[in-house]
Amino acid sequence: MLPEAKIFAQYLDAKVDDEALLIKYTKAIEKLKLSLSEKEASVLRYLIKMPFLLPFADGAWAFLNPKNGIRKRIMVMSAFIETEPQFVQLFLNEKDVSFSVFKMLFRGSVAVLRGIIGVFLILVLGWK
Amino acid sequence: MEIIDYIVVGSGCTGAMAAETLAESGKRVLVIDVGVENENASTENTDFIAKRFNDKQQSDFFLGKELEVLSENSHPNIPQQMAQRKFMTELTDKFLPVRSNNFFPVESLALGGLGSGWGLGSCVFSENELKKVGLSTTLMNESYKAIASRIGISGEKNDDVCSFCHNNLIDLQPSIKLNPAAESLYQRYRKKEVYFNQKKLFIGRPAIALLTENKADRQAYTYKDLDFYANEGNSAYRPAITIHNLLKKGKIEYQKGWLALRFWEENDYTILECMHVETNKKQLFYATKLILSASTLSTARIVMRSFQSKDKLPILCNAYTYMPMVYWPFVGKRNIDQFCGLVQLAMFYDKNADHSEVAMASIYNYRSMLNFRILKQMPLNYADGMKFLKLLIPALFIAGIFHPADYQAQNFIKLQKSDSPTGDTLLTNYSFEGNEANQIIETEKLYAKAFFKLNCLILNKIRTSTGASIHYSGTLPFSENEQLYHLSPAGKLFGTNNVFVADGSGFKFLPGKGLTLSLMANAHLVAQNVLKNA
Repeated sequence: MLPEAKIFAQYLDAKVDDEALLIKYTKAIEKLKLSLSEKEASVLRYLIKMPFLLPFADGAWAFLNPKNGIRKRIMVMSAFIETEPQFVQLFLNEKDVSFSVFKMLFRGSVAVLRGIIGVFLILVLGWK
Repeated sequence: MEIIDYIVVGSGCTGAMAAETLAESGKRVLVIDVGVENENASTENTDFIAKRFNDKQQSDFFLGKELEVLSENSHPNIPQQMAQRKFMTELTDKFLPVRSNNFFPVESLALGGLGSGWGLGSCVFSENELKKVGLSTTLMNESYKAIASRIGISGEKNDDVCSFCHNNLIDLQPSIKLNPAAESLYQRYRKKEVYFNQKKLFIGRPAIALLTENKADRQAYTYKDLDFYANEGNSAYRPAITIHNLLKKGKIEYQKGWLALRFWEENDYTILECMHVETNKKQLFYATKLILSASTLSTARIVMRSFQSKDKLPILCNAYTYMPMVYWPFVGKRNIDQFCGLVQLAMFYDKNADHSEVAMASIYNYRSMLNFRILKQMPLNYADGMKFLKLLIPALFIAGIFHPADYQAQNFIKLQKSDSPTGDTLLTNYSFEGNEANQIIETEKLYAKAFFKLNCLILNKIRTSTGASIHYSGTLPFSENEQLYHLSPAGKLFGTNNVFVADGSGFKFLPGKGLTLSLMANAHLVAQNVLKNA
């Protein structure tokens, strides 16, 4: 499960320099019994090899299948990253951000675009 | 056989208030309760921002040592419940089973009951509302005053919503300092006040059971934004505070671990049969007067078992809608240390302009419940969503709208035999139909339009599943005529000589406001009636 934890952490911009977070994630998945269907497990194996597809697939699932097992696991990683002091700046603004509305709209547009591309991707690859 | 003067069943808001009033008489008062205690109670005294930047163990605090917050096996109406509040609903699956397709009430067997997680909103009911509820305005107004002086309420003495919140009936501590975004939103309303008031909409500072000044051994609120996790200095009122104080002073006795099942009367005393939740052992308790304050649904269970009837009982529940919304001017603002996660503003909609049918939106800033909860509901990928949310969170408000509720024929509860430890399961049905459903939609539209006018962009309109408001009443309606399954206006259960009901079971109408203060005021009145009756 460590490779999966690593790609999720990297995907969420957490530069992991020790394995504590990854181990914590691994234990949590077992404890929470967040199992994957056979299809989801095979998609995950593919994503571990091709992690650059993750934002697209995740964006598409967010639209089409928010209860997807892989997305649930990303949520767990996101919650752990959020509760690590070293990553807090990924979640809280320490200063006022200039042009914040434009930045937010830009970020939202990028996310939507990735989602749209992702929808085509998962339909073509049969990952829905 | 030992006969106790007064047995109070339950230690929630109503049980605590009834016990305190009865204890003042100097007679023997026994509180019988399952009384699950909070083993994860936090004594945290840092603030949210400091904790987030410095505490390496914060995931245990925010997510729970057992990862309770991430678990999927939670109650449908309280998903991702904080670890520090999980005790509130412990054992309910086992001892208060419910079977339903559409109504999943939240119940508690904890010390302090659901009051341990109460949002602290402390509105009085208006004269018209009290009339519909079935309570006396004069008596309730006196009682509101007594309760406010016991629990401590802060609020604004003179703003647009004071007539909805406290009507100048109660002594108030100064209201809490608003968060900057809420202050800005409020100032925007003030500029457009005339427009809003013409639409019968009013915004102001809600009265809340939170201390802004020290009171006895409780401390004033400290703006550390950990309100959903800790209660530093007991600044927020919780019923357990009253129970602990009464116990400390030796004014009440407390029997923990007992679930009240049924009662019957013999001669001039009442016998209460209870079951121990650990051993399933049954025991009888004897009282001169029995005061049921176990909550609307639990009291209904006890009464239905006692009368051994299969009748359906009516039920009331507020519909609840919440709207996450972005207040544009605060997008990308920095996060400040001094912050409050509790309700900031309240917007009332007075449909008939006579305080008879009022809906209320409680407006909160969202922060301390963490971003991932929102992320998981957003139709965006997590990585971009995180960056998007970081900018959005300082501008994020949640408005929770309570709609008033009247009796509808299709809504009922019924006790059915089952193999649960108590031998029965509560069958429930609740849906919003016809005019009531249309009115809910109309009110939601009106609120959405009003928030838009205040520069808020509504992100979603979430009509929660029935039961999510956690406001229930009306199972044993008040009645002037003596009939089974009804209460006299003094809270006495018809068909009995010495059994009183001090919770919301008698309320025949559920205003779209917080009902907790009125529940406590009624419990105080019922306890006074018990004393008079003695």
